[in-house]
Amino acid sequence: MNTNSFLSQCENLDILPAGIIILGPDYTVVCWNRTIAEWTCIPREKILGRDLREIFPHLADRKYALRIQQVFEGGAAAFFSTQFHPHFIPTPLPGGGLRFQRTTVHAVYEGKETYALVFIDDVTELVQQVRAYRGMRDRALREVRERLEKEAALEESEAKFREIFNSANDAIHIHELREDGLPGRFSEVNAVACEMLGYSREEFLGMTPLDLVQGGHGKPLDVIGREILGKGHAIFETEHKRKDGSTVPVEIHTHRVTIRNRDVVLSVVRDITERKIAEDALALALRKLHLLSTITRHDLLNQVSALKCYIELARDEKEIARTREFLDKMDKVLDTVEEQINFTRDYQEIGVREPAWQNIADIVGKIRAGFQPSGVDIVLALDEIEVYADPLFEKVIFNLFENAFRYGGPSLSLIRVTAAEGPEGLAIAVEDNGVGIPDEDKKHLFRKGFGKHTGLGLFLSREILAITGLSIRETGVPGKGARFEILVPEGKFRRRSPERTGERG
Amino acid sequence: MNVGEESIDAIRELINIGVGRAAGLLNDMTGTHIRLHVPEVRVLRYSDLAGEQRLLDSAHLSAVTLRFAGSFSGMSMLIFPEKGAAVLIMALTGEEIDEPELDALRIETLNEVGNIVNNAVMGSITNVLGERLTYSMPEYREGRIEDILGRERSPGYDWVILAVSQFMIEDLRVVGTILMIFEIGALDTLIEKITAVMGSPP
Repeated sequence: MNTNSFLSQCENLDILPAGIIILGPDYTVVCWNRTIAEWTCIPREKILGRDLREIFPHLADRKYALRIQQVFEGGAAAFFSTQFHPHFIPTPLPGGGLRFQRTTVHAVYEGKETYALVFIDDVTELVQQVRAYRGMRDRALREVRERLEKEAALEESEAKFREIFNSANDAIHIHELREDGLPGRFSEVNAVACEMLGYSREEFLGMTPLDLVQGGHGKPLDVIGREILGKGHAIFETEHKRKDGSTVPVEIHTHRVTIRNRDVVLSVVRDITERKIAEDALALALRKLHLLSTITRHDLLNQVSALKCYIELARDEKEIARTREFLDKMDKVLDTVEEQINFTRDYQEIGVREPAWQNIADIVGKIRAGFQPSGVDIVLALDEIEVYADPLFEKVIFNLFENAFRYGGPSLSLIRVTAAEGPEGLAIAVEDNGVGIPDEDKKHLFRKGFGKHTGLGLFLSREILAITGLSIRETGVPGKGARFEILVPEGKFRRRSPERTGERG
Repeated sequence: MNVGEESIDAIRELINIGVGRAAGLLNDMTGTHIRLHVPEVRVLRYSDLAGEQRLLDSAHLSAVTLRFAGSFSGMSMLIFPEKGAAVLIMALTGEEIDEPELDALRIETLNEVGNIVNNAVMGSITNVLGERLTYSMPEYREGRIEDILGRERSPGYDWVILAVSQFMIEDLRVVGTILMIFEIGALDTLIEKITAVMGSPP
């Protein structure tokens, strides 16, 4: 082996910044350049001629030995990457740790001998850069993944919310909240809300909750606003107007919530029609019970007392004529008792049957036929209007006609029925040109027991009308005639369409 | 040139010996149980190589090349689709393969894997034939197959031995392609030598 030639080459290789070792076939070090000497702190003179595997025994391992052997046998260069072989020749770094290396082993020939030239690159900086890059990349990927997961979770949550939102039994409104606590525009409504009021979602989004309100709220609007702003929630009742003009009583639970960083109000709106009917029915039943018990206990007892008194007087009376007089009075008392009993029967009938839409012209026409011929002109100036009222509504109109005939006096020659829409709704007027009602009687007119006859007709009329929210008042001028106005609020009357007229045939 | 079945069988056997040795080396190096199979070996014209759509139709191929010269000259090459290469290297180095990507260190590692396979296959052939060839340094190339081949300044290539190679690590399977591209007349020489060593076909 001509080592001199390699040694001379080795000195030339000192200028290279890579570690260079040349090995003989028996792993004898024949060249050890300055760079590798500096890295390993092993001077050239101490290693030349020695078997490299004595100093670095791991090189005897198959994963090195087989491939280096291939090189000695004239095979292609063996490449040892940093990831699989980071420290081909372990060399410490000044700051601690070991230098990362990329190593290539080539065959070089000297005469008939084959030598292995080991070329070691210091890639420590590259490794650090790649690791830093991988760290950044992994962080970025993790962040992207987390964001995607959050977005997916949010989407899932929104989908669930939307499902709950649309499958709720109650209407749900989400609307903006103004700084003064008043409601702003709707930002979302569920399917039940659309179904309940007949508006499309798009129509809703152009409105505010105040556009739906018919009449007032169960509590003042400013109080509701303060509760929402202060406590974050409020509960109140109101009536909502449907697109077709009808109304629906609702109970609203509002909560102030934050959705996508926006302060909004989420309202659960429950249709309380059934509950209202039940409440009204209960109130009516209680009023009836109270009234009936008053009549039975008080009014009837009064009559019984009077009857007993007349019986006592009759018993002591010797004169036949006076006795007859007492008997006539007893007869009248019994008539009153009978009428009071009849009243309890009529009164029981109120509210028993469901309210229904009733045509005023049909009702008045039928009543007019019953009163003719009478010498009184009955004028009907009505459009085709229907009123939502208790089935006893007809009895109310009949009672007004009956009162006109009974108390109108000799001047009565005209009864006129009209209807006109005003700010309070529809006013149906039944007026006559009789003597009218004195001012002092007007304030007691609808009280039970007031009147020249039984005093029960107008009281009953007011009760019947009240079932569906209608009211009655007297606005005539004494001496010129009586005028009764039945006030029908919005939603409780409608003009009969031609189709409906056709249906009635 | 008509390459007989016997010659192809012989070439297949030599390549199998080579990849078997490469698999053994990779096992020793990584401590991972890696298996290497060569289910398909074909000889085709160099000009037809770009039409190998099934194996080489990707805009992102990664290749490790080894040029050899001697009694037969040419270039040996191990090619993977870039994603497949990243998966293989990350599996061999025990990294998590959520987002396979080749960076500078992984390209080096792929270079070593290609070096091992190319050397083993060439070593298998030259050992049997008793030939000594000279080799260039292993080189990493990437791009479309045309880009990888187009960088070659010696266009005098004639025939190609194409060997499909399957790298299997546990339940992972990465398919690569070994190409041995021969300069004009080199494959004839190789086959003649194989025939001489293994005996004439009947």
